[in-house]
Amino acid sequence: MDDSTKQVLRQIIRRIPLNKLQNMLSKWEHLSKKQLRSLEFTQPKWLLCDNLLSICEENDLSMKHVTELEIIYRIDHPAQGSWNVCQLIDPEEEAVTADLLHFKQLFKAHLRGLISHVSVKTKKHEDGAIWIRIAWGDNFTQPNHLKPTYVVHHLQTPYVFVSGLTMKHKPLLHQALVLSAHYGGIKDVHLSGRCLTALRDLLMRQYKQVFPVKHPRLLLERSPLPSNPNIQMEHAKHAENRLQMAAEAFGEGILPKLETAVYKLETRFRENGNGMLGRREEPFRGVVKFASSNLLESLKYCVSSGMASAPVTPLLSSITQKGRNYFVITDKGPGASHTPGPNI
Amino acid sequence: MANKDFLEDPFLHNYEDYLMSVWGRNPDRHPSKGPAWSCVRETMGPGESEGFLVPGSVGGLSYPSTEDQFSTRPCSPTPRLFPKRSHLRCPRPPELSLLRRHPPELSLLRRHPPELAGQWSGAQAGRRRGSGSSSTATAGRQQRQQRQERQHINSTAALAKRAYKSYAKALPGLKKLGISSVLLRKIIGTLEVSCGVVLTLVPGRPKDVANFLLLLVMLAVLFFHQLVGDPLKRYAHALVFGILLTCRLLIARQSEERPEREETREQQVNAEEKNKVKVSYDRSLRVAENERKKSEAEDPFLLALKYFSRVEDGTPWKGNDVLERHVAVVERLALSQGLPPEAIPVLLDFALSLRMGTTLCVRMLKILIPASVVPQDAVIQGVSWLCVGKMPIGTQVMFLRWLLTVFDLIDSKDQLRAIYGFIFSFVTEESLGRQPFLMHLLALYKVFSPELVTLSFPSKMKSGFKNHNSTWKAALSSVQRRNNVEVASDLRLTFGVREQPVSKKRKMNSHLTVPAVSSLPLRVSSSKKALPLEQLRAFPQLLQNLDRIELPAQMGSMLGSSLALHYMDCLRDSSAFLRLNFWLGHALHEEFLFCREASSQNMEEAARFLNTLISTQRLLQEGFSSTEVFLYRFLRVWDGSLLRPQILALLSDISVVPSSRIKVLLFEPLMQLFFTSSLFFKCSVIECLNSMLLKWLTWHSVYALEDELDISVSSQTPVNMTLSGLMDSVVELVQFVGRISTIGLQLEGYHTLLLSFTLDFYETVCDMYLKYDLPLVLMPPAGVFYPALLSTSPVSVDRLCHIMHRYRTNLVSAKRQEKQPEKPFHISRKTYREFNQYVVSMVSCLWNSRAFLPGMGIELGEDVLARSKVSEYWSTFNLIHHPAFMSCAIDFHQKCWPERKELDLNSIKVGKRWDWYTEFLFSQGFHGIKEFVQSSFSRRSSIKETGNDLQ
Amino acid sequence: MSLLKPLNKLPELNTANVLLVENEELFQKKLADAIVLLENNVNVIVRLARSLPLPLESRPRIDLVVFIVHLNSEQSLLSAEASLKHLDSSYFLGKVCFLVTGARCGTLPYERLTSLKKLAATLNSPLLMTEDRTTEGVNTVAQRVLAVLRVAAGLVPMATGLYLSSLTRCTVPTDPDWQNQD
Repeated sequence: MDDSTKQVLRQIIRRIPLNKLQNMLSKWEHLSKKQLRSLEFTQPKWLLCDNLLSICEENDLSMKHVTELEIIYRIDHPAQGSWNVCQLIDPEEEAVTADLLHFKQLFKAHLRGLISHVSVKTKKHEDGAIWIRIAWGDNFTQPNHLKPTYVVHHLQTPYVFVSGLTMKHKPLLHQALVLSAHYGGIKDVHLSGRCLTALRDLLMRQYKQVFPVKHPRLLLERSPLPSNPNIQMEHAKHAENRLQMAAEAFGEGILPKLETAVYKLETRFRENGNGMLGRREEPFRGVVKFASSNLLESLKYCVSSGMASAPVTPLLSSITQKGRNYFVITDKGPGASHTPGPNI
Repeated sequence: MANKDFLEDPFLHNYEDYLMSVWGRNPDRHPSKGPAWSCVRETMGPGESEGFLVPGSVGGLSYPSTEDQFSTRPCSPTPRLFPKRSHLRCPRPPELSLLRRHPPELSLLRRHPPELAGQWSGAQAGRRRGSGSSSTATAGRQQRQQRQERQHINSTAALAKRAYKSYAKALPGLKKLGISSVLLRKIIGTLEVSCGVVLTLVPGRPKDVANFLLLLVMLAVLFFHQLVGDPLKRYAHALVFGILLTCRLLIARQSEERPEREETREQQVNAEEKNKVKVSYDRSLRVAENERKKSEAEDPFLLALKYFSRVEDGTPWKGNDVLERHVAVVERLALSQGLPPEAIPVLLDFALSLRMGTTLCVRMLKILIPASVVPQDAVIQGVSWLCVGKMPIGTQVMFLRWLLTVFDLIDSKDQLRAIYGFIFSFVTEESLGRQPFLMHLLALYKVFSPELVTLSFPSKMKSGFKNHNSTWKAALSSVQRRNNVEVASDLRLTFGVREQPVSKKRKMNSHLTVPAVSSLPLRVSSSKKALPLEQLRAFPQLLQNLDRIELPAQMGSMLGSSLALHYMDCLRDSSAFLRLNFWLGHALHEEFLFCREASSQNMEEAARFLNTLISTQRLLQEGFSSTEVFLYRFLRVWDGSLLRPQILALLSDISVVPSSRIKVLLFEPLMQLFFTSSLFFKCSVIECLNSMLLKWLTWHSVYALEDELDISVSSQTPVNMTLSGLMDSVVELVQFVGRISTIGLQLEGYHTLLLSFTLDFYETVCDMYLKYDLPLVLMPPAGVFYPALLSTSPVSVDRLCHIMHRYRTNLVSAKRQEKQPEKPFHISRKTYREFNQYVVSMVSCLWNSRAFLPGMGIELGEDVLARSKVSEYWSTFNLIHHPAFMSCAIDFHQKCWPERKELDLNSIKVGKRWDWYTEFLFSQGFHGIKEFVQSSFSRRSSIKETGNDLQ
Repeated sequence: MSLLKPLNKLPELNTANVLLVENEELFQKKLADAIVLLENNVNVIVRLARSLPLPLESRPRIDLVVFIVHLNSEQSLLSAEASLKHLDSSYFLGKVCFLVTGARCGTLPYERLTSLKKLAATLNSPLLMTEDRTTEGVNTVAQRVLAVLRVAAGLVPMATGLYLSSLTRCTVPTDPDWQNQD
């Protein structure tokens, strides 16, 4: 074990909470049962880490094994960093029939062809997704295992989830992905969040949706009527209506967890006269950012409790409908200044 | 002498630095020879700042040294092997881990660790520095010098003997004493050897003594040298050795709290080595094992304390895992049980020295929650950090706020008081500016010690304090609540005056947890021996020591003790009252107006506290002004049920409110509550106002002076009220009650209970003149009188009769008074007229059966009466047919004519039977009616006559 | 019917209607339960609403409108102010009442309480302070609302809402000294 491997292992151990460490290490399968038993998980972490390092040294584990531990941990706890979503477009014929092994080999080959020092590690998750861990180096340096990029891809779907990617390596990754998955191109979906499953559910519509119907069903179970006949709700119908609207816009039950929604506004100042502001070349820019631990739930509550007006504005409802949480709103065009409308 | 060069370097003061740099650069290079190395390592005793080695050979006295084991001379050619690294790494014994607590001014010492002084080669360097020629010293010169020294030693016995002979000659006094040169030599030699042995081997106090003796010997030797007139080079060694001894002694004296810098440095050396040197696997494991054992042997909290006590200046805190761990340990303990007293100085020192930056300082201050007490030293040290001047303002303010929060918990305050002047000048004049949280405190303090507080305050400040330290207080109180068991036991110990089962209140609780309630020294009684209040046990003791009793440091504690209150009552010093008032205002305001939620436990505590307050006020027989201010504010946000009994009881205790403000302060909020609340609330309000009036009247009758028109009140009550002012207030109050009871009765359907409370009130009102000497007679409004007269309950009618009788008595005596010239006062004609009308309608209703007839008080339209379809309506309210007395009449009827089957109540009216019936009523306990009848009809005069008489 | 009028319908026998308006819908349910449980003699019907105007429906005459304002939220006060516009002016003759929570808590902005007091004073309506956290507090305020309601619904002989409101209406102290103490 060289120093860098130790450093990486130390970092990984530091990230994993102590109560999960034992479980992770047993999943890792590179320590014998006896060795695992010799570790005391009640110790402080740094001490534990020292002991673990010596055991690893004994077992002569390499960087490959160490990164495996990280990938296992990451698969189990995907909500560690921000995930961005890309969509592959223009599928070729082979795209439908691609198999895992093939994809893996192709991807590695393509990426190695693009950049000389890169370390790729893949693992198949139980749900069929392929997890790829990429440590980037450049032409002169070894791959940096301290800041890896994670890519999650479900074969046969066009979506790719990426975490920890720098702008520098973006074209490389995109090219390798497009080539190895047999697609024609790739584009950014403008959806990001911490919770990987939520992003997946949102894009693949795997949450409970509600569709507008002519005769709304009784919402008795949702809003229990007051027990006493002498208490009457004046706005019961309204409340019901609002609940229905909110459910239509954001879905029902447990909603996917998104953290933010960002709206960028670019607009021109409009006035009749030829004021200073009207002649400005640059548009005015503004950013509205909604943040919450569970944004969709919050928005839904806003609508259902009446804080937001009842027919949900398309600005909000398109988060679920279009599956994105980053919007740029611009004026329609320089000519149509009298009919301003959001162009989402 | 491979390492000679660095010894020559005058700028390199610190060998350790050099060692570190050399080892750090090249760990394999072991300096195999050179006394400096070996000495440094060897002489570093395992736990002592031991320095000096050899007296025998190096002293100025050159005689052969037989004790070879002591000879470590500078040029000794005995090379020592460099000590093993394991030796270097050997952990410090625990006694070395004294808490590092060197004050800033010790920094000079830090640069010259004791080892340096103990080194012979160090001595040389020191000498050169001392003689001021250090920069020109060269190696060659040193060698020459050493050669000389060697010669010195070689010419052993003969030289020494000669020298001593000359000494003995030079001092003839010696000879007279019988001390020959041989004896002198032996004495000095023995002294040097024995002291040297002690200095080397025996730790502790004897070492210092030996040092001192050795120093004396050196001085003697120098004296001899001087006598003989030796050249400088002969006694230079003695001189240097003397200086060395002096230094050692000085350092030994100062190093009670010796800086641990060397130690941490050594650890760093170890750590560095561990990283750099390629160590085999099992050794590192062993090291880890050792460390683990060590850490398990000790409490993590103690480890954390140790860490904070010795952490280096400027250690980074970002991403510092070790630090995080220790902070977490401290945090957990602080928030669960509080910090033990011995930990507070360490942590406070760590925080305020800003050794790891401001962020950590703030964080540490936030969790500095003491479990029991705060040592005074810690606070003083903290204050001393303030003057170092590198703390940002925000942190200084935070420290002051912390200090204020824990002020009650400081174990003793004598030294702290000594530096008050400094603290106040700091607070008021330094860059702190005007901190809002301090203003009230300073304003209060200015009352007591105007010379300390030079700040001027706005004349109108809100009375009462805002809670600025709520987070600390919450944490503190939760910690203390958790440690409640001990608190209760403490309480009983300190307050023998009166047993208190449970602590009354958090605030007082926190005060009373202090084991000794410390008292402020009164400046006046500095000559006499003062007796702290908490030592009082019985009332006779109080009487004996009345003139030398000391007030407690916190006035809130007085509330609990009746003895203290007795003392307070007879105290002429208004500052005690002022202090109590301030404290009370603050406590009430904070607890009841800033209370975030009304949990049942809180309310229980609050009720207990208010009950204490009420009993205090009853004992002192006057209200505190801060209570009043609080009540006026509380009434405006009161929902009418929260702590109702206590609030109303307090309300009834308030002193006379000036009539100009009584409406705004009292009547408006009360009226809004009164009319929207339940019957019981209404009753309790009337009762409360009744007792308020009673207290006002009592107060008047007690304090009224002879001249009767100007009443100056005792010093504690701020309101100076004239008689007319008081009368105005009383009139306002009575009229207010008349108004609300009229409407209240109407709204509640003339409920008997409410009526009874209202009549209670008028029982007080009707006797104002005779009982309380207030020249005022106020009649009840018709809305109270007639419902009572026509009430269905005989008790009400009876009481009304009693009240009317008392009115009559008061009016009659007032009339008599009016005729006397010396004390004239006037009761308006209207009052008489009102009274007469009431009497007329009463008599016409109850006796004459002429109710509702014209001129008989109550008049109703003919058509209305006709519509009621009662034929003889004029007689329906006489004593026989009155709904309240009907049952009595029936009873009487049965007793008169037991055989009669049909009921004919009218037959009672006839002849003698009417008198019998009234006698019967009197015998039933209707004393009011009896009084009324006897006073009004004693002369059998007509009603008109009575009226005319009164007019 | 956007404007709520008190006198365009006949009262029902032995019945009182009270409308609780609260934007947050936090406290009104608790209060409604307490009111219904407390009153046995009269048939009290509690209606709950977020704000005015009420939806177009047929409803019996409403005898008392209670606005619940939480001092910890500005929105609460604003919503109550907005709803007031949808009341007929004859409601302000003793058929409106304000409840305020959190007035005892000194950490809340004092200006909000002051502006609410001024509002209640100009509308000649009572302002009842409420301890909404404790059951005792809820029961007390339920009793007080009932007391006002009984009068406003004409169930107390010889008393009208106007009469009562002239006694209980909120006052704002004008004494500068007193203001200072506040």
